[in-house]
Amino acid sequence: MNNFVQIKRVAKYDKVSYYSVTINAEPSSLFEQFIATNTAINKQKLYHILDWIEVIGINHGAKVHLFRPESFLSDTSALPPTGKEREPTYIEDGQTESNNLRLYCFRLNENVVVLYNGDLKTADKAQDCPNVKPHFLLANKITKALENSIKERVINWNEDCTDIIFDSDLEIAY
Amino acid sequence: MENNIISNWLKEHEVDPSIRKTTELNLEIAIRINSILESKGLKPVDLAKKLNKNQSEISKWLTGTHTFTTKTIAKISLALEQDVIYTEPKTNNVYFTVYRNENTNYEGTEYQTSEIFAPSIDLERNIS
Repeated sequence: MNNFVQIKRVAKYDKVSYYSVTINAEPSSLFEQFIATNTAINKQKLYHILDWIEVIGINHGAKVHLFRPESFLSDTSALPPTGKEREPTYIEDGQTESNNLRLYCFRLNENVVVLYNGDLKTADKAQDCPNVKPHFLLANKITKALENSIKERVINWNEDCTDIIFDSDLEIAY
Repeated sequence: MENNIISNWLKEHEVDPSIRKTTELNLEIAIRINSILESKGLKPVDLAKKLNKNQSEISKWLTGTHTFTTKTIAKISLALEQDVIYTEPKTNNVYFTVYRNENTNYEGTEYQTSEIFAPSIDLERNIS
């Protein structure tokens, strides 16, 4: 049986609509799984990423320099962003700490982002980290499938390209 | 109302509000620097050269994850020859329209030229 994803909107702000995907009709999306897992074990790091996502959504839009490029097979990104060879930082108990929690995503444009799953990154390259490697590869595969769906006009843009339009029962093979 | 799992989670797990404010300010400053660079046709590498910094450091600044000191902001402002942040004086603007009553006899009225009252109709720029 082929694997397939279904698109699910998880949040909408003035500047950005955030989506995620469910795999093979599972009840929760990849992003919901990310939240559930990391609320229990990485709450502060998760707060940093979700806060970031909300501020971008409300105030700025998903500008390209606010994301970390993580392309392998496709145009996948990750949060939080950082400069070359530097870990992103956040404040925990009043101290600046590095945030090695990664959330993989697909930034379609400044107004639409698909959020996947992620984990704590323990190696320089995602392919070398046993924690994030499966999320990184899956994110790239799904992004590729979504890119193709846009090219084939299975997923369409609204008039001003501020959101995507698709059938509610759309299933995309990946 | 549509379910928003991000905002719901943040409300439920609210931590120190200053963290949120720091995120907002860092992002505002990063977006502003990026916007000045774009408006001047400059690249991050140009700013790196002007400040004698590594490009990787400038890239980090532009992601909005860096907490800037006022000294750094001052140096960036000088390098870009434009203020990165500024405070605006508090002003209240009052707008009103002036009509001239055609039935009034203006004979003997002393007028001053006014550059402030720029009429949208054929009325001379004179106030009395």
